[in-house]
Amino acid sequence: MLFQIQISRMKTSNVIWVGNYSTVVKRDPVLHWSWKSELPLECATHFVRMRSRVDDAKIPEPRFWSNWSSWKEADAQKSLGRDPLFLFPKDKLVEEGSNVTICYMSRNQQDNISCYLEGQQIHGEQLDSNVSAFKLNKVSFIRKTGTNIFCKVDQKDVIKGIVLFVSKVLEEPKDFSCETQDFKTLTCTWDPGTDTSLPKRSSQSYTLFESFSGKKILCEHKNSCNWQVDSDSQEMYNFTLVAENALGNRSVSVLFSLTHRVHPKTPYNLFLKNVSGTKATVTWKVHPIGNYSTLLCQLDLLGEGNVIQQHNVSIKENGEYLLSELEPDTEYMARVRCADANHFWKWSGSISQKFITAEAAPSEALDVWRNVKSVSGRPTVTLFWKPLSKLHANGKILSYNVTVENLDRPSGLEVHSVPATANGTELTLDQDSYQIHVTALNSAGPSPASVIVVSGDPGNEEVEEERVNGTEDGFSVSWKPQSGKAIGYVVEWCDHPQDLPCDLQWKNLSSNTTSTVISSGAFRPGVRYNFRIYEISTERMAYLLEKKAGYLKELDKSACCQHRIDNPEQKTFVMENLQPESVYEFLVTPYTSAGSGPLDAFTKVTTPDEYYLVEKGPYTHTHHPPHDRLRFAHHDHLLPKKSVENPHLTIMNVSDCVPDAIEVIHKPEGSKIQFLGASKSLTETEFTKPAYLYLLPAEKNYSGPGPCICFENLTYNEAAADSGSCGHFPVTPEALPGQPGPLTSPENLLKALEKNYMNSLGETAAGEASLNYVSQLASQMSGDKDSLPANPPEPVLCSEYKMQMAIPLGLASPPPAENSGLSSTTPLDQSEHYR
Amino acid sequence: MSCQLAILCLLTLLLPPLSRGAPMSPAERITQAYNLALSMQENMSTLLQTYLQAQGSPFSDPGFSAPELQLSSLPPADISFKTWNALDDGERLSRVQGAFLALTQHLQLVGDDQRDLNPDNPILLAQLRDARLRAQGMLGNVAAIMTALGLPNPRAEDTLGLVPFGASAFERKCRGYIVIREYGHWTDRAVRDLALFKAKYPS
Repeated sequence: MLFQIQISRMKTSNVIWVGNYSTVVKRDPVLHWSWKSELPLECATHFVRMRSRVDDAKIPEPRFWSNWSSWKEADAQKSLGRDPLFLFPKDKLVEEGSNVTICYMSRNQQDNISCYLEGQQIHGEQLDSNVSAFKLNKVSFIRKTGTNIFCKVDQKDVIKGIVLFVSKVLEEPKDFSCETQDFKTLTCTWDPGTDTSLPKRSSQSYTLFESFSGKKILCEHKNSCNWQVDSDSQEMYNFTLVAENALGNRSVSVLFSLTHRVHPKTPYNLFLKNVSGTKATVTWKVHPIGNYSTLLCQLDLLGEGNVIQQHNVSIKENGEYLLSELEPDTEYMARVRCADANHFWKWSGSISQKFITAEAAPSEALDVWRNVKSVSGRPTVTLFWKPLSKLHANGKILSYNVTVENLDRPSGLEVHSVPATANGTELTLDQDSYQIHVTALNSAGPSPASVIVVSGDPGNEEVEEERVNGTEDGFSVSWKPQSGKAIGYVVEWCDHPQDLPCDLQWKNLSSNTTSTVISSGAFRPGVRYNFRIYEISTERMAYLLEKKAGYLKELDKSACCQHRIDNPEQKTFVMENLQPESVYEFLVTPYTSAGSGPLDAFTKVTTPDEYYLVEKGPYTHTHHPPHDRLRFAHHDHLLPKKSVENPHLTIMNVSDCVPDAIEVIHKPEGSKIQFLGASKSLTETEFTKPAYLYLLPAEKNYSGPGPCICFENLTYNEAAADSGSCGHFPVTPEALPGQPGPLTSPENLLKALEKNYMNSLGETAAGEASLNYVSQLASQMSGDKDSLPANPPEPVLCSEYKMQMAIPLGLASPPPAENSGLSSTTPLDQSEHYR
Repeated sequence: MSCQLAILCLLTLLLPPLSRGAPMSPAERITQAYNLALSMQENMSTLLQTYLQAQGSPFSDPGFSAPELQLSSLPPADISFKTWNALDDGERLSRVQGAFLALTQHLQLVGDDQRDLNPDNPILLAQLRDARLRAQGMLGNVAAIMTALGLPNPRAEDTLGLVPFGASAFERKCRGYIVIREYGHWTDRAVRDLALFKAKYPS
């Protein structure tokens, strides 16, 4: 039968809906049909009527409609109470974004009624004098506790409201997939999306339906469901996941083969066995998957966080792999994960284990260099070596072995063990030739030996020095091969030629090389660097080939202070206008008509703080340096009485004495001093000797060129005497940040000193020798040490002041002697200062 | 923890001590009831604000007030001064007792409503529970005073009757507002009544 239905609102003539309903009519039927009104039925009377006709193909046309039934009235208003205002629908649940119609009905059409949604007034359509409807389009979710809509009757304090419960939209489950770890359980997971729960209304539920088996389960969790695999017979699965809440449902399906959805469990029992220096065996286990499944496992070897090896291993249950090409004494991590070998779906979780390979003997010989010097006439060899890199050390270096073999007189091997912390050692030999083997040892054994040969015969040391100019890249050094039998060359220099130790450096070069660029981050402009090029013979002996010297960049100030001394007999030179508390460097070099001689090492001098010199003078100064920065070399007649009993070096109150010489102790950290020796020139290792500044006031009848200031070396050797000449080399204040600026002119300083000096000059006890003795009456021929004891002191107009000192034997060290018969040297253990 | 402690403190205030040596005098009981009424007064404002904020507009709008909303199941606290002043002890205490009996039941109802409407607001639910416990405490204290003064103690009645069930969410929100508002009014009146008794029965 086909039924046609009409619905009218408020009056029968106002038909608002017509529809058909077709159904099979059986005997004694009670048919049900429903219609949902957008407008709440409470707000208006509705009417319904219907008619019918046969709707069966077996019955031939024409088929006629029956008469309309009478109108049936649905009037919910009659059941309402006597309240002046009603609002509908009550507690309606809708999905966010849907359209909702609400209405109010007033008992008194004179009432002025206004309605609000969450505080905002809304305006509706008046259906009749008492009823208004509001169509809310695409309602929003505001809060779980609902959206309040209320109306009030003005002037009557009547308020009525409803709560609209707006639910979040039920989403289709996302990322729905199923997999198994053991062929016994399928685990299906998905992203449920937004929670649609409201107070008193639970969130959406999920049902899993499998079409091949026809089974269905209600999922316990919002985002996963476990499905029991009954037997091996079912290979294909077609799952439909249905999400459902009070307002509707959403579903999603997936079709797959069980064997294509294998997600193995994380491997376990990962162990490292037989770990040697270069190899290790990794073993692990996996949870078996079915009877015939094979797993493909990926073994990663990581070093410092990076994958450096990757291996694929097919296994059933037990995995094993031999890792090779490992570095000794290195930490690695082995990491394993597995997947189904036949149908890759997903990797399992990973298991990892750290391990450290065993040590192996160092793989490379040390880079060794030597320096030969003479101590008390015996050649002393200082060996230097560079620590092995981690790559070559293959473990912790425990010590170094130095084996010495006399090549001239076979007498067995002499073995020295040097602690791992040292990077050199010193050997005292004789004039014979020696072959020296140096090896580094770790727990696994020694490195290959590094072999050098040294001899008491220095070979040709009379090599003329040449200038070399620095560039941005460093010093470009070249040389001419000499013997033609060289197995290599070594270029040697000091990174800090003005410091002690001077930080000896060397560079090995192959036999077919005749030039190289020496670069170092330590190179500074204005500093003179000396380079020595050695040829290494087939016997592994080093012969000096060439010497080079030069500046990375010559500073302007070095040129501005050159003084020409035309008198070859002149042995002193007065430097004027020096700044107090400034560092100067000086050197003296001879010249002939053909040009000047080679530039030798500079000697550094620091002028004293003026404050001490002019304490009673007009130059006052608030800055008072600590006592340990400046030390007075005492002269006994200048000492206060209380100090005479102990004439040793002491720290004194500046007001207690009259200074005539000041030793400036302040110098760069690590500077060290050498004394003794008879070498004619100084090498870089002595560049920073503390120099003494002697201030000698001019006597009233002095007719010389002016106050005489000489820079004196510490010892009575020729080099010291030479350096007594007064070339000067001021260092820029920028280079000495710790030095305060100049205070006054040197003339004033000297005048201030003059008075004190003259009072005490006559009391000098000549010939007294003590530690740090400073004589004001040294010989004019002080450059000649042999003449010193024989010449009685005589006052001279411009005396040169010498220091007499006793030097502890253990601290004595010959100065490196470029012009001596032995190679230059850098002592390893030098005293900080004389005492 | 602090919540449990608050309840413990509340109970010590609400429940008359049972096992002390000498029975409490009427004045002591009056004082205890009076102190409870004062503490109820202190908490009233917070409870009302918490409640209104949880209901949404218009309840949460600033200055919200709807005096026209009434519940027939709750006796009005308003009374003319003349009538109030003329009340005898028994009548005065009976009215307070009747009001707090009704309030206790209504606060239980409001608590249930809000458990449905605002299940995720534990502060509101706790404050409603505390209010109900205080109302119960006041009921017990007034009964103890009546007993101490030798006044007849009327039997408790079911004041709610058939009223509440089937109410819409908005109606329940309104109902809760009325109950809490009236709870405040009756607390104010109880303070006044008990102050009168304190003056009349000094310790």
